[in-house]
Amino acid sequence: MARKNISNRVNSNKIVTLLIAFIILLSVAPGARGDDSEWPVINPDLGPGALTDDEITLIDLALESINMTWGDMGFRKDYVEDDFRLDIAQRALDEPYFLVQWNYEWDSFLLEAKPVSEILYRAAIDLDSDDYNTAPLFPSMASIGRSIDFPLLPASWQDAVEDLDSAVKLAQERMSGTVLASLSDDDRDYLPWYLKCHFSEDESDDCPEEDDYSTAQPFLDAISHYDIDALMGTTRELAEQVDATVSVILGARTDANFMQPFAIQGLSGTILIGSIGDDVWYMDEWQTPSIIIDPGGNDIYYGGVAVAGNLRGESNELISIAIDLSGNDMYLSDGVRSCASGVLGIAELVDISGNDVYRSGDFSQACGLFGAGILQDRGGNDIYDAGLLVQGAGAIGVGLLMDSSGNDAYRAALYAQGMAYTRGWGMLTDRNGFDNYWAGGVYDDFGRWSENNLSLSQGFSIGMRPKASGGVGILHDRNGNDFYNCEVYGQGVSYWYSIGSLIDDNGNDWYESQQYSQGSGIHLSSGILLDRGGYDRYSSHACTQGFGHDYAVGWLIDEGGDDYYTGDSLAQGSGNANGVGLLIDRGGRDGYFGRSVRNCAGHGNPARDFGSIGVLIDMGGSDTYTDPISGNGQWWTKTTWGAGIDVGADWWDIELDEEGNEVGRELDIPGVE
Amino acid sequence: MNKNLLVAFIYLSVLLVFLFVQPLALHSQDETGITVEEILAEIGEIPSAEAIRELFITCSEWDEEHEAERYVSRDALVELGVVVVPTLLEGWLSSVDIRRRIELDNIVRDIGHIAAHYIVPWLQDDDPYTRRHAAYLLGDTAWINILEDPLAVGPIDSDIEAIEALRAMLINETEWEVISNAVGALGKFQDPDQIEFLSSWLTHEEEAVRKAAVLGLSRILDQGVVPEIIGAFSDPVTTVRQTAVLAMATPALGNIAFEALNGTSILSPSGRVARLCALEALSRYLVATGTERTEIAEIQRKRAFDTGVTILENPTMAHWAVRGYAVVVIGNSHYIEAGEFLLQLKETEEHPFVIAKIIEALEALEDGLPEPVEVE
Repeated sequence: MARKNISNRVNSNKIVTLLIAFIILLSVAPGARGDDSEWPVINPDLGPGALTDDEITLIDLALESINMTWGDMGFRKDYVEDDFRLDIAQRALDEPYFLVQWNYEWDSFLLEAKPVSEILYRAAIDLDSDDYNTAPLFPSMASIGRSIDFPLLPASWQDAVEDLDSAVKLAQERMSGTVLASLSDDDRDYLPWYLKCHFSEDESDDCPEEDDYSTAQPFLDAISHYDIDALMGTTRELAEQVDATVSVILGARTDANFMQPFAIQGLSGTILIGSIGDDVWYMDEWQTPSIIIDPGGNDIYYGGVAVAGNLRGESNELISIAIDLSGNDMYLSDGVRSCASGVLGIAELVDISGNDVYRSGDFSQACGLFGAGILQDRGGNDIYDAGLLVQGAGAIGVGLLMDSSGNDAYRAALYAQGMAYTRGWGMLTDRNGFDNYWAGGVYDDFGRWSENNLSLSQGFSIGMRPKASGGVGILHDRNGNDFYNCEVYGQGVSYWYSIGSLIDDNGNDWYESQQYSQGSGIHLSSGILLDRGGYDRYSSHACTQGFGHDYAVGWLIDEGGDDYYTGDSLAQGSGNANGVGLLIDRGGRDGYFGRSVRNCAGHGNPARDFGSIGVLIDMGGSDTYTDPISGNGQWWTKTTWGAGIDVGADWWDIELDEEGNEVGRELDIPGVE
Repeated sequence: MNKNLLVAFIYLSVLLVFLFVQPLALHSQDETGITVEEILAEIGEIPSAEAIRELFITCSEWDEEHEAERYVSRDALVELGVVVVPTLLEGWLSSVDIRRRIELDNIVRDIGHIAAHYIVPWLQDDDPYTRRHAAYLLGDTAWINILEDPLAVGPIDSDIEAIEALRAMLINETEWEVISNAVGALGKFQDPDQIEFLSSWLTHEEEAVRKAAVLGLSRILDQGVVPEIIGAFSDPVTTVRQTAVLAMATPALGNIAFEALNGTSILSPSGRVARLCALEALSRYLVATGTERTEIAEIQRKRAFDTGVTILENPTMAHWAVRGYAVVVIGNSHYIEAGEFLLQLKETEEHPFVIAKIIEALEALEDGLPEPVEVE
């Protein structure tokens, strides 16, 4: 019907139309002929160590081929305001390259092992905390003096333990006098019972019938009251003291010849001291400790260890420190929070060596919820198994899990492995070993996949849509061939004004997921996956591998190796519903397999009467694509709006030394000046 | 008739009835057996606010528990008509719950222009979020929506109150989110008298407002919007340009759009960005009109081909991206000489982007024009 109308109208008004068209042309082009040499190049503000100049150039060219610039990726995405947005979460949307820069800076920082305090110092920057650029919030913990002697301890331990006891005492005072004092009376009544309901969807009668689409105002009020600056400052200084004490007593470990565990009373509360043998700790049989130190043996801990702060019905100290100096230990607390669980408190667990097993309930293994949880495991092949909000999870607080070496296995249900929530910062950093990461298997993915579960893990962050932005979640793995498995939401992903990042420096890695994964931003948010080397496999159903959905930004950067990317649709540098997605592969013989051929590999979908941006750059190697428009030495644009460039073998000027080894290369695209 | 054939026919008929009738039945009667008529009978001619709220909550709960009753409740609210609108607006116009917003929009859209009178006062609400939603919703009440005719021209008398209210609101409104929604909504009335007013927002400092202005203009199917939308090809922000490109690429504006695009491809007012927009819109326009076999369509294809050739032969427009998009235009023109021209060009072209586009265009030419669509 419409076509007929057009045709009739055209035929009957032909002359008039042409006349009008001529007038229009005069009006829009008043004697002008545009100069094609003018081009508003807006290169990103680059720092060292991120993308190469050639990669920048190629992204620039790909964007140019869809009539865009770097600046165009920063189109407005902040259509909702709230009081909890982090500067970096906003900036990552406004200047998508900033996310890359920020990510590389974290990786560069973590190149060498760093103490907890230094990591927290940078975390505070991410959290817009004043702690990082002002004078310390509190006087030095070392300056408060010591008032209790511990004659039962060896002389070589005494000062170190006294210092730690004093620091814990001071941290308790700060926690109660400043951090928790920032909450109102109503907040303090409300949070201990509400937090568990909010995060674990507890269906007991005590929990309010939560509406998934709204957030309880008292909860938001409590978040806005909470003094996270004071929390960060206190946690950082306390962590410094913990490391200092560990350093001393570890050097004098053999001086502790205790044959059985015992308790002493310190300034901070009960201090439990273990024996050099294999201790079995039933934690509920001891006075709730502020500090535990076990010098050796293969120990088993039943119940919560390093548990600080209180949900309803609990009676923990506000600060809780546990130090185990050696042995293959087991921390067993099924269904109970444990192993650096800081909920309305600060908890830290340091395990120096041995092949350890950590099995805990929810809010465990480096969980900071209105608090901080720090877990350091400095050696051994370890197994971590826990529920939700675990393994480096920060929500209105900070969670940091550091594992220095060994082949480790991490398993969790939800909100885990470098995960953050509103005003939260969470990191899991594993320096060495062939590691396995699993997340999912418990919580249904209602309304999407009947046979899959939510993961919300592995470098993931989420806000409370539409009331509160999220935080910063980072999963960092330094070395080893690693396996990452999640279901829905995970692996360098975020949702609602947050940042999710997965960084893997070395090894041949395998990334498996179902949806919303592998360097994706979902709903006004940013995510990045950076793999810095190795022959890697990326597999996911959809919405993945450098993908941005709904005013969001996603990056996947793979720096080398022969890699395989498989997806069903909306993958490999794709934008959907006005999102921005980029995939950069620095080289190697790669395969890009997409079942929905047109919807992968540099693709954009239109929505809201404009488009999205999808870019794929492959820097070389003999590659395979399922979309015939793509290929080696090809440069394509498609859909609305996607672009891709695969650098051909003859696009490089390669400089060789006398022995024929490559010493440098320069991009020289045929036909491009 | 063969007996077996008859049996097969009966089976097939039963199957078809099962397949097609069952979904319809489900829509009007839920699994519990409640029908729209029964709901209406129960709540009476003048429903209480409580009854309206209950129905709305049921239809906007997107969970399994309410799945069966959702559609019946929704249909009942629409059936009740404008009497439900004040209660719904009072209850949920300010809601940030996306389920409530979407269902409210759906119901008001179905009730239509008679709902506008009740929405207008909300444009003056103190809460920007409420104003923003009210403006958006008002656009959905445009009477012209019920025609479902992309070429219809509005407004009718009953739209005037809404149009005037939106214009009055925009005089003093300062929140860009509200302005964007109001400007976009104004376009939905498809009133050519609003072209000048809408065009004035094309220079607003906020990109979302400029985008909304392009969108609003594109909804008015009048030749007067063409120069204004073409002007947005030079906008510094890609989202505004993209909206303009997609608006001009549809055949709804008739060949006036073609003339403007064809001209701007060569005589771009502001350089390459605008020229590329014009070329892209032109190439998409050619795809959209590819099923047409009218004389004017053939003439347009020939002229588009000429435009592409002109660009490729003009050294001042020699930038690779421009050449690439000119090639796409030539390919999409399906003009009889296109293949030969592109093959010759391929012999000399060096830029990989342009070469890729030549190959792509040649493949498209090989496929030929899409099958014509029968028109009445």
